[in-house]
Amino acid sequence: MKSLLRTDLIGGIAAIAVGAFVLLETTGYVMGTVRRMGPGYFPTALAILMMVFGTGVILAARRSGEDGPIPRPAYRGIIFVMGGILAFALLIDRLGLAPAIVAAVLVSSMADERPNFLAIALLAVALAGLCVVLFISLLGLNMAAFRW
Amino acid sequence: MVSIGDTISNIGIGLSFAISPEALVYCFLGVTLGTFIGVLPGVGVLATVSILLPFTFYVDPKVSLIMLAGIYYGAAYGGSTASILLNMPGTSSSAITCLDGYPMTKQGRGGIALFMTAIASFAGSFIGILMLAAFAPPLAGLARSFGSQEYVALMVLGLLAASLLSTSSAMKSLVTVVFGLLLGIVGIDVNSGQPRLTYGFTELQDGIALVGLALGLFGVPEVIANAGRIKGVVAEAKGITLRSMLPTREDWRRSWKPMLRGTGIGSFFGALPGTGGMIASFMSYALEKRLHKDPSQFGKGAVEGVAAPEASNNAAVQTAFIPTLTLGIPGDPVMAILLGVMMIHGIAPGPSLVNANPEVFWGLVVSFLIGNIILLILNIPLIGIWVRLISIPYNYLYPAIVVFLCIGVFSINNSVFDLYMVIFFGLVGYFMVLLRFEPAPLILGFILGPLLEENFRRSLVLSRGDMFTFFERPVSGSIFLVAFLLVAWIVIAELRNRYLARKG
Repeated sequence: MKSLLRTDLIGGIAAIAVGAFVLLETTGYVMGTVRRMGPGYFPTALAILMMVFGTGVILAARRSGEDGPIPRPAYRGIIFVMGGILAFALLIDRLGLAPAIVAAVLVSSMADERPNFLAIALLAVALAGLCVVLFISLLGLNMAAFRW
Repeated sequence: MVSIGDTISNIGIGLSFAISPEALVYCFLGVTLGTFIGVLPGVGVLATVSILLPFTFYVDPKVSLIMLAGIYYGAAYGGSTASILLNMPGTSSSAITCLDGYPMTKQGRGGIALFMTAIASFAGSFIGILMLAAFAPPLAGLARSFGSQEYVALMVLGLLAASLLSTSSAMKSLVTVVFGLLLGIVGIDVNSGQPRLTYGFTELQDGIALVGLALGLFGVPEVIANAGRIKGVVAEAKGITLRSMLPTREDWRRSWKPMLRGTGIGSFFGALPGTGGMIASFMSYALEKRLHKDPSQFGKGAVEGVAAPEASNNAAVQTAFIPTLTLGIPGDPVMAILLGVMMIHGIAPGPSLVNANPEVFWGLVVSFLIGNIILLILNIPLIGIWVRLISIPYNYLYPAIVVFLCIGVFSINNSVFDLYMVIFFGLVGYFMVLLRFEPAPLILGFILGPLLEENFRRSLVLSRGDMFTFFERPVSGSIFLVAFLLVAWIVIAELRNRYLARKG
């Protein structure tokens, strides 16, 4: 049996789901009339369009030439790149810019399958120094280099 | 009416701004950076412009526009280098150049291919700039009489063109565009004060931030894709010398007509809102193949197959500024971001920009000319430097990109919430790519969402709820007719393909 995890089937379902999710919210808004549209009119129309086109994606799947099994996501890349951004977000207000940069570099470089730890540590320190000088001293962004 | 004397003095204002030292420096920075990322396969224009976007808030907006635009057209030059030497397109609009560029490299004619693309790019850009200078002011004059109905018509045409003339399937692009429109209207409704689709987040009341969205959709997926990549592709073509680049008389003779035809096609698709360089380069390649005496040469290193699409995509890049600057309707996704920059800085793109803000309009036009001359120098005598850059170590480049991306987003509002938005849209963007939805048209919908709703509402208030108002007015009616013909053409082409497939 062919797998159901095909790009166009899942893509179409996702589109319909997003449309339904929006529709659920916009039905609570004032709809108004064509002549005097309320805040709900336009988003409701878009949500319905989204569901229609989503259905279209599923129906057209066999001919689109793009349909196929969903490729395996690069989990390692996703986790560590997102993790790097998350580390930066968690540390910037608590510890300041320099530690946040070091953490972001350390975490995101783990996306590489064979990381070179020495080079990464050097890169982290160098980038932290460079960014503190460039953004805080030269460009005058309103951030603290260190905060504890 | 603006007199010719005014126009000349406006050009003067633009010229004196464009040759000011600050503008020249940023123009140079922009085109150099553009060439750099164009040459690097896997680092795209949209991602770069998004990453640099926050930092441009600290410089004069006019100068930052010059730089961002420079990145855009610079990348259109650089994109072909990796296509020709490595069979790996540096940018999507140079994908078609692989077909004949790489075979030329294998035949030892890679230098000539690089030279011809530089010349074709310059020719295409130069004519594109002339078109921009010639057509934008009269179009702006015409657009002064446009009402909200005309704007609705233009936006619908643009969004349809972006979906139907893309390389992705039409239905999927339509989904993407509508998704963008929905994201665009998140926030407080200006007419009623009602917060819409904010799902309880007060941070979303001012709408989704362009920077967070653009970085999430375009920056993060590219970083992820590059993170797992085999490092250091070594360029095969080390021996590119200036002498080996000089084309023969035969190459010139075969190339100049394809260049001109490519420029024509590119200028048209560039100026059409919603479409851009990629579709233009595909169209002009197909045309050259059809017109050629011996189409079997294509794909085996025909110089026409390099010259035409490169002239075409560069012309499209320049004429994409026509609808962006005169109507405030972006010609393609990068233009949508530039439009966002202008709005953030309080420069209103639209019919009045050309005359009310000659420094911006004519300043940009003159800077494009300067930038293209710089690019010609960067891409012919200095090509060797760029060829060496192709083998840059990605494993150290991408953590640095992550850092710049974080600082950029955070610096706008000193808000951690914006970083979470990047993560969220990063996941959305990554899964869109995985499911083969092209995320680029989304940004077009995002920028146009609020404008479309406002003009749609206003039109129907004015017409007392009569939907026919859009078809009765001559200009908006004609634009809708064009949109209808476009849809009809796509449907007929699809039916014809299916018929032929069944038959044969």
